[in-house]
Amino acid sequence: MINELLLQFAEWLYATGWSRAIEESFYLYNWIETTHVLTVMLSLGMLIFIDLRMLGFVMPTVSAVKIAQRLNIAMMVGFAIMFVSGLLLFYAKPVYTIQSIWFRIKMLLLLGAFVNAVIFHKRMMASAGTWDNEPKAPRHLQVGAALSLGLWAGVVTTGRLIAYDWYSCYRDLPGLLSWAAGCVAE
Amino acid sequence: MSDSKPLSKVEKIAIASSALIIGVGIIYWFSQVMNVIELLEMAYG
Amino acid sequence: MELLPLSFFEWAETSFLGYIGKNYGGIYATFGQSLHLISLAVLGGSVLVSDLRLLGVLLKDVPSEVVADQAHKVFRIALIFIIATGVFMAAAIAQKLFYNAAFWAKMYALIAGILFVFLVRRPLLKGDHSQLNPLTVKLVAVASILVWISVAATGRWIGFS
Repeated sequence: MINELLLQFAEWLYATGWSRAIEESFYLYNWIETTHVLTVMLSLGMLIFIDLRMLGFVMPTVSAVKIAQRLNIAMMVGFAIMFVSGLLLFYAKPVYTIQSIWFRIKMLLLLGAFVNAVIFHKRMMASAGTWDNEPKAPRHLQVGAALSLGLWAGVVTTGRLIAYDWYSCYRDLPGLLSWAAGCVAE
Repeated sequence: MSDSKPLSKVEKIAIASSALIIGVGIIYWFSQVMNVIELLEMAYG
Repeated sequence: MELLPLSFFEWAETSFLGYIGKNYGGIYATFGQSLHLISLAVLGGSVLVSDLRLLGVLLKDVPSEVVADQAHKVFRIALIFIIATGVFMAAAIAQKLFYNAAFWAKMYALIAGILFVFLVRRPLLKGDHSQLNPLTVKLVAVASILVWISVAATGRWIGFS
């Protein structure tokens, strides 16, 4: 049911003028993709530094909360670019992407990373002032930081795998895999 | 911008190599952009 | 233009790494490409944190000596992983790379970047920053960002050419 709806939506997007224009253009899709990939240096780069601080691996003499706050804007600018470029990439190849099992897993991991970040931020701010100058953050925040690194590593990996068609619908996938990938009976 | 002290040897090497990198970079990327414009003109007229 | 002969690249494809990369797509995609991208995030982060601090854009209330020193430690580790994964990825398609202009552009930029970091930037920034001319520091930061973004961009372009 939901797979049919998603596919319908994707096919509708595919038929729009701009979607065709981006995918069929000489360079545009490639540039958008390049921007998306390179911007991880900014978005994930800042995030990794914050997480490494929480785990005590980087700048242990500097307040962890201060680092998180100072790198936040650059990180958010990075994520904004990632979001817009990602949206455009999806819009240019909506049917392929929405039926990619890797894309679907990536979205779940992204959601997980987002939820983890919100919880982490809340807890960090709640306890700020008590531990910031320790080399490592308190145990539960270290777990959050480690989880963050793991989830984002997963996002990058599944993102890369979208381009591979090992589990594409045309390969006639077995039951559960077929449903998970969003394959719809013709 | 005036300096109160002269530049050390490391600083001079730093300025020279930075300028070289930036110079080569500008030339390279400018030529890449020109290539793209040329190709787009051929493709789309 | 080419730094190593074609025969080297032909050999590379027949090597163990080349064999694994060609025949095990899953391993190539995860331990090659994806790990390369993760390393890119770490390397890019270390470059940007350090250079943006030198340019006075962020972490302004943290001593630049501390930022530069700590970022360099992260940079070194990321560089090892990114080169290792890069070699692994290259082995499987070595002959194609030999004829690829973007690949050679990347190699030149990479060599320039590595020489710049270890022979110029690190020696310059190891000491007390207050003794340095502020314009020199900013010039170095700009060159650093430019060279590493160039390595990344030409690298991505290999895939498109």
